[in-house]
Amino acid sequence: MKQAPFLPPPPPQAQDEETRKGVRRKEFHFPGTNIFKGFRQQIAALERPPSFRDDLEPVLAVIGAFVLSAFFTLFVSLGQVSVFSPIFSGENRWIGSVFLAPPVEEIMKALSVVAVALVLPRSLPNRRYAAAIGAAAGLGYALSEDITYFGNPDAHGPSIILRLITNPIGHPVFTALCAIGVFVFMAKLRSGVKVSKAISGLPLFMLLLAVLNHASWNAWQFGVVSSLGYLGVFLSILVIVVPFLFILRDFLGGNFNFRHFLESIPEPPPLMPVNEPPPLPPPQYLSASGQVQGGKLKSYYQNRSAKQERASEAT
Amino acid sequence: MNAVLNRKLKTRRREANWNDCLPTSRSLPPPPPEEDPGTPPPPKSFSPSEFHLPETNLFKSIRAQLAALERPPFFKSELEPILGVLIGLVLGAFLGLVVALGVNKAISAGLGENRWLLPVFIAPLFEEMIKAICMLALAFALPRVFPNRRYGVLMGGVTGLGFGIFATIVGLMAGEFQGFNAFARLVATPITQPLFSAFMGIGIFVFVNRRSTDSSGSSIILGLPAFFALIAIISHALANTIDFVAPGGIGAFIAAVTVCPFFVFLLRDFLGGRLNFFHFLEPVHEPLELPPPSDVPPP
Repeated sequence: MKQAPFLPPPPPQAQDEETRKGVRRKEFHFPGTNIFKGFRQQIAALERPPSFRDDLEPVLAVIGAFVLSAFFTLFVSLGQVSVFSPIFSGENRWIGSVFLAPPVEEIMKALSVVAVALVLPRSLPNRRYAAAIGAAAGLGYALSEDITYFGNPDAHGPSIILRLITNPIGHPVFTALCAIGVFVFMAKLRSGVKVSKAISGLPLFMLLLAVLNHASWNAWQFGVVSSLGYLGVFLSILVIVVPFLFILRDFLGGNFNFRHFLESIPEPPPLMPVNEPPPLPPPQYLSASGQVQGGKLKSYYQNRSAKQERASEAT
Repeated sequence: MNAVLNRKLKTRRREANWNDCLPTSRSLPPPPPEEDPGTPPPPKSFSPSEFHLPETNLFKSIRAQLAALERPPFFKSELEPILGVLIGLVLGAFLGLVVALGVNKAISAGLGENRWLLPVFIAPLFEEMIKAICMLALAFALPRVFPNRRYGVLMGGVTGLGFGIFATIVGLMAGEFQGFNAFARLVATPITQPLFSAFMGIGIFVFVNRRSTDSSGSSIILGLPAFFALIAIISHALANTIDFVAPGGIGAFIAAVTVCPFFVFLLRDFLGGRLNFFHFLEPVHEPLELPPPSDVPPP
């Protein structure tokens, strides 16, 4: 019987050697980006080193996010079927899909990440953990949505397979973006900021970004896939998911760094512009009448202060 | 002026001399005791703040065998166990659900009056085998995620959870579970299915680690892996039988309350006599069995 390719752990000496050389050099990366400098520095300021009680804690967070969002699908789909289907049916179906479903679904997924962060407060130490947990929530949601879709009478072979391929790519990306916002929100809450203030700013921006991504994905499914067919589905990955992946990559520090995904990348500190100090204005002296004067009055004051110094030294 | 300066210098010198006279132990910390670099660090003791029921050691020899196969966890990155968990969840949900439920439905149509055979014998065997295949696929994708029995339990539990959660969701969507039945399923499924698969996970851990050593042929499957698969199937069959006898969710609830605690107790013993939730993934050191002292007097 052929042996499985199990790798033995390297000897400790080799590990030391690896860490000294820097493992990252071996990894393949596209060039690092730094498009959202300001946002990244804001996020980096809220990060803290991971301090888990146990190795199980991040794993539990991932499981929790996955399971919760999978269950939330149930409520969302039930709500959509019972409330909005009668309104947005037939030709108006795209309105519900493009404008209504994305915010509702993203908020539900964000809520599952918030619930996990509340139960396991140490599980979101930095944006990378948040992205991983968010991706897990998105994956759970996508799977649950797929399974409920299979029960649909419209579902047929090729569409099921396409959905199985594309859905687990799209949803994790949307939710990873949103989860970075949740991380910022939770970090702000921890520092004693009010809920209304904590939501505003970056968390809201990240949620909007996720909703935009989701809405554009759904719009593509309606607009292009109907004319291009299955090719359109694959194109949607290239056209919609890849640019947002690029944005996510930038938010994560300019690199995905898959081998060390959960290690946060330190942001470069903002450097002050190196300018020469402005020249000092010429000294001005006030006369007894309050007028600004130079010349003789200036030399008089200078002489007087020099005399005073000499007198104090003598005493 | 000079006199004042001289006086200041003298006082400083006196202070410096006094500092020199202080015992060295106060100024310098004592040197650390020299340790032998060859000796391994002592095993971590359990945190006294954690609450534990009394330890058990019912299956000594099995635990010793399991401990012999364990190795220290070595992951390429911190993401590896998380990826393992995600793959387990997804595979359990998809392969398990689609294949197992599809085949279950197909078989149930042909059973006729012997419908009880499906939940009591066929479904447990079939579902556990499917879950085992999912875990094997996970082991081949990420071979490092089974370093010890506790990781095996985690991966098994996660595969079972994926399966159970999605089976419940499908049942709820299809309207199979309603009222108390739906509530009972929501409570019982996340407990029962992961528990059954956890035993299978230990079996897969043994299988994977035996395969990586010199063992070959049937000896890899026989023994401990088969034993753990059997426990998984028996526990599943017991729970299903109770559910079949008392339908409407009552059976599922009773099974979660009666059958599960017993099997949790068994699992706890296999894991080292403690569940140790705060340090769940740290391997437990099994006490070494010392040979009995020989009666032969020393020469």
